[in-house]
Amino acid sequence: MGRPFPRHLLARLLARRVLLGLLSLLLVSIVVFAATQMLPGDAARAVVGRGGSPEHLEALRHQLHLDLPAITQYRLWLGGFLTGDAGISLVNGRPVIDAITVRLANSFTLLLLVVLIGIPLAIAAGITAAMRRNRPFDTAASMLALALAAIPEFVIGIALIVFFATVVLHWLPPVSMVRPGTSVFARPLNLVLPVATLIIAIFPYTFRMIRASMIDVLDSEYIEMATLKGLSRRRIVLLHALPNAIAPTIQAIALTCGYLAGGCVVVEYVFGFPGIGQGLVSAVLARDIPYIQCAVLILAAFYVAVNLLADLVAILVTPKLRSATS
Amino acid sequence: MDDNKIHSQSLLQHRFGRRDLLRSAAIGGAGLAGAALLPGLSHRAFAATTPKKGGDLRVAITGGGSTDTLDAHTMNTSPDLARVMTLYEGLTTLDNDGKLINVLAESFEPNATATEWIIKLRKGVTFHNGKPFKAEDVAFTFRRIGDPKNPLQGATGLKPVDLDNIQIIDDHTLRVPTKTPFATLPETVSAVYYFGIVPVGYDPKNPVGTGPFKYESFTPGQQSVFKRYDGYWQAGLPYLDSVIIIDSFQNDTAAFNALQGGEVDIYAYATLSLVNQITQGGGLKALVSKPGLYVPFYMRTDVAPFDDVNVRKAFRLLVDRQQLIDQSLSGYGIVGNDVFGRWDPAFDASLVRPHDVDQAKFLLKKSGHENLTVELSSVDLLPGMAQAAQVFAQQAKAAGVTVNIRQLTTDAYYSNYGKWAFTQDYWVYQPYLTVVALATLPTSPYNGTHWNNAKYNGLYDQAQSLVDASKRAEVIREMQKIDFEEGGFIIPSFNQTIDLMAENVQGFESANTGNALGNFGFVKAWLA
Repeated sequence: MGRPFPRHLLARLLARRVLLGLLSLLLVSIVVFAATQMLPGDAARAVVGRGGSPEHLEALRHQLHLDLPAITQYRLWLGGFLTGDAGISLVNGRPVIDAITVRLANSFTLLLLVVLIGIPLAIAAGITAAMRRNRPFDTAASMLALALAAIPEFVIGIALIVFFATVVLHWLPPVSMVRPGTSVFARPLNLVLPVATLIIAIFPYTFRMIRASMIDVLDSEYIEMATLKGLSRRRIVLLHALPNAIAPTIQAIALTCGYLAGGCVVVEYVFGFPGIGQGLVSAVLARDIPYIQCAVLILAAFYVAVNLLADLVAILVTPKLRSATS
Repeated sequence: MDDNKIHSQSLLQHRFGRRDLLRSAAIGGAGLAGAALLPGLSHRAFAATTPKKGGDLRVAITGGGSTDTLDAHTMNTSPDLARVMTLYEGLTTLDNDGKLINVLAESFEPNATATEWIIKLRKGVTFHNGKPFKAEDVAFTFRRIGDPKNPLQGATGLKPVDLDNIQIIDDHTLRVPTKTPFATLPETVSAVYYFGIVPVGYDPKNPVGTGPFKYESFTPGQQSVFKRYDGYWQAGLPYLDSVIIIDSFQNDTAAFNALQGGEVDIYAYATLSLVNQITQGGGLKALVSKPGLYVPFYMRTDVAPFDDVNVRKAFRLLVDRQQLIDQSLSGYGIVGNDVFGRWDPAFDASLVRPHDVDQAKFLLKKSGHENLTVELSSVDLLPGMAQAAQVFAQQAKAAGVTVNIRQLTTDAYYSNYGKWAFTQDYWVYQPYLTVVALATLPTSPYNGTHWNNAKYNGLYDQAQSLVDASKRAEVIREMQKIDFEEGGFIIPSFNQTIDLMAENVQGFESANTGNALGNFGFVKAWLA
């Protein structure tokens, strides 16, 4: 049965990681705030554009508390945030959290679909390639992955648009227009091209990762032993090789998720997809500090959480690591 | 109709040739009056048909974001402009030729010294909430804009008005006294985006105006919906059920893709070169505006080297304007002469700026500025703007001037707005004196050239005291002569704005204000 599972140690590890995570979030909020202070201009300037007189600008600055010292502004924001008030947008006076949750839901849908479809696809392809090493499927898949890895995702996105939506065929919508207040699922076709673009973008990395670790494992002695014992190829791969190959891949998947949380910005830009990335870009341009802070913290928290989860799963599936925690 | 024939001929080519377009437009007589709806057109599209009622018009406009607003008087982004001009109306407006016409006003009567105006208002107009439009609403609107505690964008324009002493004579008549003579009140308030009339007690959270469409929904940086206002005062208008303004596109390609994919009906303020992608039978057409928009270079007349009038003159002479139009605007513009107010009845079209590199060199040498090096702070706010800076830098080389371009982001540009020594800006068409108040007086908020000329200032005051338009025009021409000889503006061209749209979109006319969609003429638009 092996050694008993060290639950209390795992709990301690978890607690420490969560605390560290919260600390990094605090640091992130300070860095982001400092960065917004260093950019030229402010929210009042953004609202007024070229259209305002100096008097108007001053009146607005006062109204938005932008005339207070930076430290005071930060303290005011943090105080509100810790008591569950993410604040009001400086530029359009709406509650930040309302604006963010809608966009967040859209981005999360996108991300979830990409992960749910893209990762299993890459894993399956990776395993198949490893099993047929140096045979046509492996060579073709590896070359394709290498080629795709070299193409930036906005190029992929534009190529897909040209082919499927505007110039060659007219099968899919070239942009993801979602009526505010409705779900992206109101028109699932909207999701096809953005999801496809991101799947293509993450495929090479995950594919190569799983292929490489699978090959490592398949070359190991215990697999050779299993083969000599006459176990079926399928059984060997799925039951004996995969669990060991998956551990390093979990880290890769976590990184991919983290990348997707930020990387969807490009895809949202190309497709006009109303997600968190698009909202963030717009907020940065407008120096809308409460919005920037809230959105960045959510993305950072997601990143921290995904990594934590990946570490935990890696520990759970790796006997060696499992015992190392004790 | 002759123009249309010429246009149809050019359609025989697979790709639409813009040179043909301009040539035919020139034949069209009054400027580019004929250059309205152009490429990809079948004859049917020109045929006069009866407008059809109903339909939802989906309009893509880029440039929106979280700063979007529905407030009548703090318009900020291009989509805001579209929204504001859909919801609200002013006392006056400029028609498609830039001529001043009354909208909510019935008449303006000044006293002999232009220090008091009697404004009579249109009867039978109601706001979207059903409240009848009255004199009190005009007084409220003026006071809201000019509120000294929170002056809004139009405050500069209303500065001469004695807001505290506006007198309501009856429901449809006001007496507006001014602190200084103000002969241009009617033309000043024609800028609907500054002076849209709102009802007493107006709250931007409940954006109510008298325009053809009323507020339905609004999400900043995404989409806003406006429904037909059935109580609109112009009988039978508007035709459309609703106007949907979509500004979630962060780049021109996405907006154009949306149009090609049939997700939107119009892509406004299109990138000029995209017109070449409109091919026959593609189901798309272009609305080319008359020239009105301008993108001047500002030379600050109070800092070296531009404090020397010879340098300013040399810079104006070294511009090859037609080449600049061809290269940076894909040909969509007419040559400018460094003087604004192009369609003002008083505009002096006899002032022509030649392209004269030798003279430019001579002036630079005379003023001791041979081999001059300057920095041009450029920004990309409009199609062709950044390219114009590049072309200018190239052309300056011929006169031995090195222009280093500093390409700024929009926010960096605005954070130092009005202070750059040599920079670019943009304006839509407004009458001459209205622009002077905003741009070339010591008190002007957008005085990017830091122009302060005692004689010029005196002429402005004189013009404002003249209620007789022809006498005023004489003074204006004197001012324009000063602009032309000594000013800090380089206006290489008056640009055309292009909107791309599906072929079934009808009713938009070409205007010269520089705004998209025929000065946002949603009121007469319809879907075939």
